[in-house]
Amino acid sequence: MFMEQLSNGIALGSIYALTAIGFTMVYGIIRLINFAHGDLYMIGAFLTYTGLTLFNMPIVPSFLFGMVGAAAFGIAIAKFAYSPVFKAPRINLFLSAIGIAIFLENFAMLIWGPETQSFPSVINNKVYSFIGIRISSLQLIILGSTIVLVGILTYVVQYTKLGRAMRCVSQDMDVSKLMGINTDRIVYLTFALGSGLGAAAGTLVGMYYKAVYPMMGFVPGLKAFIAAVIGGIGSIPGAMLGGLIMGISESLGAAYISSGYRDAIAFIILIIILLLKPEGLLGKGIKEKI
Amino acid sequence: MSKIIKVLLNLALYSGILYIGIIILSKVFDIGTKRFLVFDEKKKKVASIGFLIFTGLIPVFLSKNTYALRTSILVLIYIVLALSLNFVLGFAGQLSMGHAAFYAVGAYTTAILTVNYNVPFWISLIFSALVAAIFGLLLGIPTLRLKGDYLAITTIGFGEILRLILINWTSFTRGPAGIPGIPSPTIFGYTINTNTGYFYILYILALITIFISHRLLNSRLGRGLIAIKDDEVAAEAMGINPTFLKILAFVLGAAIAGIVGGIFASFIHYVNPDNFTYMESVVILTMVVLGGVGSIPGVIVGATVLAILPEALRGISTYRYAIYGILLAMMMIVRPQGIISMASLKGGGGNENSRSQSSN
Amino acid sequence: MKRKALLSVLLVLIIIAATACNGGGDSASEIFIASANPMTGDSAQFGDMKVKAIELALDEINEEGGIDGKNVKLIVGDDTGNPKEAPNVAQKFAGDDKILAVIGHWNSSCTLAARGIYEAASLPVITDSVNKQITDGTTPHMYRISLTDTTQAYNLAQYAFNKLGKKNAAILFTANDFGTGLKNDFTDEFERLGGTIVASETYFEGQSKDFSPQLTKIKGQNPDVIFIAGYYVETALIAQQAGPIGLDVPMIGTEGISSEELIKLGGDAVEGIRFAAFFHPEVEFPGTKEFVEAFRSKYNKEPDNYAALAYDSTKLILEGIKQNGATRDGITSYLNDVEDFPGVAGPISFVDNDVTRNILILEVKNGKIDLADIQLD
Repeated sequence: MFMEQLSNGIALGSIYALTAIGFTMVYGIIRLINFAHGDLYMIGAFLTYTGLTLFNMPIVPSFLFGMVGAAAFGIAIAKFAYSPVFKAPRINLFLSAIGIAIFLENFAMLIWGPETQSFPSVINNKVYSFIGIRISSLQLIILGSTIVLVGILTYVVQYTKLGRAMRCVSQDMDVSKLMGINTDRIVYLTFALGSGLGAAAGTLVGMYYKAVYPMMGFVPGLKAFIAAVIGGIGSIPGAMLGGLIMGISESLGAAYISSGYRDAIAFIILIIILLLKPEGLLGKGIKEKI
Repeated sequence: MSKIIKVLLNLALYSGILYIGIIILSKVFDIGTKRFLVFDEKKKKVASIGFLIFTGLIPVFLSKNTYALRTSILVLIYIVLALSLNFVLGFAGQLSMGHAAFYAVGAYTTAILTVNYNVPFWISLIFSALVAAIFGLLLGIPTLRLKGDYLAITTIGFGEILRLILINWTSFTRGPAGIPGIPSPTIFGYTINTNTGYFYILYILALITIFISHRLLNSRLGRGLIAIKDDEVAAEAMGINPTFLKILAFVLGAAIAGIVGGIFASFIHYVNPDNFTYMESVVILTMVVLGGVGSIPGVIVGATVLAILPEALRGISTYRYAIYGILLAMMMIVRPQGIISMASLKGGGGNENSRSQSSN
Repeated sequence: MKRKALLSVLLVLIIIAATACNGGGDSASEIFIASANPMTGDSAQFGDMKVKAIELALDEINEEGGIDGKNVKLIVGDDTGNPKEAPNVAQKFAGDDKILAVIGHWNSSCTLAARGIYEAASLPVITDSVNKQITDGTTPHMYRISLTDTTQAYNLAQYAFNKLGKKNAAILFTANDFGTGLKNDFTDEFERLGGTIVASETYFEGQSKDFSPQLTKIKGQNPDVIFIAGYYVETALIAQQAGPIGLDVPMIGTEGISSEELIKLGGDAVEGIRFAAFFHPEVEFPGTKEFVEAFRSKYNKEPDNYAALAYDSTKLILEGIKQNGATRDGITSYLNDVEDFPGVAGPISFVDNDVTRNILILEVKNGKIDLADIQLD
């Protein structure tokens, strides 16, 4: 039973990890807690769903439609709701993001209706089992895409010119401008990328549970935040680690402690880690200038 | 497709109305505060007393309209809650997103004491304040090390853990079924069970909270808190003890939220964990920021506007929260300093405290 | 600057005036009833379904020329499924004299939070919430058109033990008043009959999507039946996730899952689930067929349990207005006296504000909801 619960945890954790990557990337570069990330994840899932059901497109174009659409949403949000408040106190940015999150949830409710829609099954979800562990093909796809995305993103951020510009912007926006970096472009690009990643996660989760609904992003958005903080906010491999830790601890906690306190376990781990190592497991401590 | 266009058109229309509304309101309040500030002390006093008498007579004006009276009670509850969060956020600069937890602790303390142990309401209210204050201390100490975003997520976690305890500890809190049948308070043998009665209890509590806020703001402690908010290191160098003051802010804010929680429990005669979700904390936080962080009149206006708005928008129920979201984002952009900012109260408005004036 | 401000004030006034004109109506020639249900938030789909059914019933009567030449209109309130909002909606309706009756509060917690306000205004309410405390005798204007959680749980426990011959049950319940109430009552009755509850696990409606830890744990206890005390979305997910985990035992549920959506969401996985319900299109009472057809053609959807009950509630209120005139008291006294009103979900009479009706056991067979072969006695 322990092995089974562990594999449940890894499957769940890879979903959290996938959601957290886009979140942590945006945070790492713009220092913005994107409360709307979970809702972009929902918008992406709904757009893919629309592509599949309304436009009768096959899965791959629908998936791309969802990602590109969510990226467009992300850019629009960054342009109209976030960049005007970059210079204001941080709490304004924070609340603007919460406002956008509330808006997106209710916007989706107006467009697609409040009820849960069933996501068409596009992938034959086979179950493989060995040494007491069961894993389905979709779980493998989610885990696989998480690992691949972490690899690609780490490469982009660390080793490309674009990545260097991104890291530069994350350290000091004004100086980056002086260095000839088009900071607006970097900010929007980051947003587009983060939202597209969110959409990919949302679509995969929609496929996995065969359900999409307007409030689907709320809890994952919060969990992505926690996973990102546990792993060290801004660190892409950290987000993956954080997501996995959360998934496994939730799974084992529900099994051996109580299913009612399942969501509390993530928060307890978060608080313990923050008190012991405030910058997160893989985060770099930023010394504040005095 | 036509549905999408209809939704978008409606949203555009509502956003337009909101935008104009915000601009006008801001103008009105700007002019209002400027006029008020040039008054001499005597005139200020007269104006304040006039305002108090006017608001104190609201139940008389609304005696026929129970719905409006009930809404004004909710406004008072939120004014007190927002002011209590203002201790933490406005004075000490600590971003707390779990304020509904203290409110919940207060409500449940009163509910459990009055229903299960037949403790008189007023005594349980004192316990509500005490228990909430203890929780404030519990949250205050570990979060001293944390700042900004980390503090925010920790306080969210605190609120959620508490809510899960309320749901799961069924033998004590009756879990998700909630506790019904919370009695009304009695004063000198009279039972207060009318809306008017609750209005005055809360009105008095609001006045006390405003008084404490005002005194604190202008006391040594309050100035110390503001100094910490602006620059902790410099404040420490000036001999201010940030640890003590930050915890004090948490404890005071929690205790007041606990009291108003107890009154709320008695007012609706029923408590349920769903009353105290994360969204509730966000709503209280929004009131403070929308009104103007740290500014007492601003917070009052913010709480009033945001408590009335969802009721006023009931007519367009499905668009209600979409508009609420737009308003939040729009306010942050158009008027980031809040409706009545602290800076404008000091007569300035152009100094470095209001970091950016509305740029459009 | 000043002119600009003046202009904007003017604009706002025009807009307000324009919207106010739209909303106004002549209340003397119209009759108003209200719906207080979740229209946004986690349980919005249920409120949506109820409002659709109420509007269908009102359209029917208004096409016939209304009651005494007066059109009947619906005012929709949104309680967001949150007991904090519910009293505000209730107060709004209670203080509005033109509203004669309310259908609603789908969530028990909302009904519990709001019932005192309706009572103070003597406003009759027909609810489909199941918590037993709602009709505890303190609120005589509150009528329940569905059965209590206790009755449902007892019947299901007897069904599982006596009819299906199951001895070891596991319970998976949603962490709200609905789920915990059902869990407790089912446990009591099942154990009284001589069965054993081998596991009770919980989840959160609208938030939990992953049930694998709970299901794996239940599997370890080897139950021969699982009782799901929750709603259809989660039940569909639970059924889907049980397969890959290797948990293959019959599942039973309550009226909370009696919806076509269960099959849409759950597909093959929900095949064979049995559940309690009050309504099935094929269990025909006078008017059932017409209702089902009208609902399908108007909304292109199958009416569910809640839609049928909301439709019957509306019909009851309309009949009360017809017989006793358009007053709150008239409707209340009609509801007190009504006997065997021909509802689409069976005849309706209220005893101590609770409806008397039979429980149907439905089963998902070949992708359709059908009557189960084995019924309760």
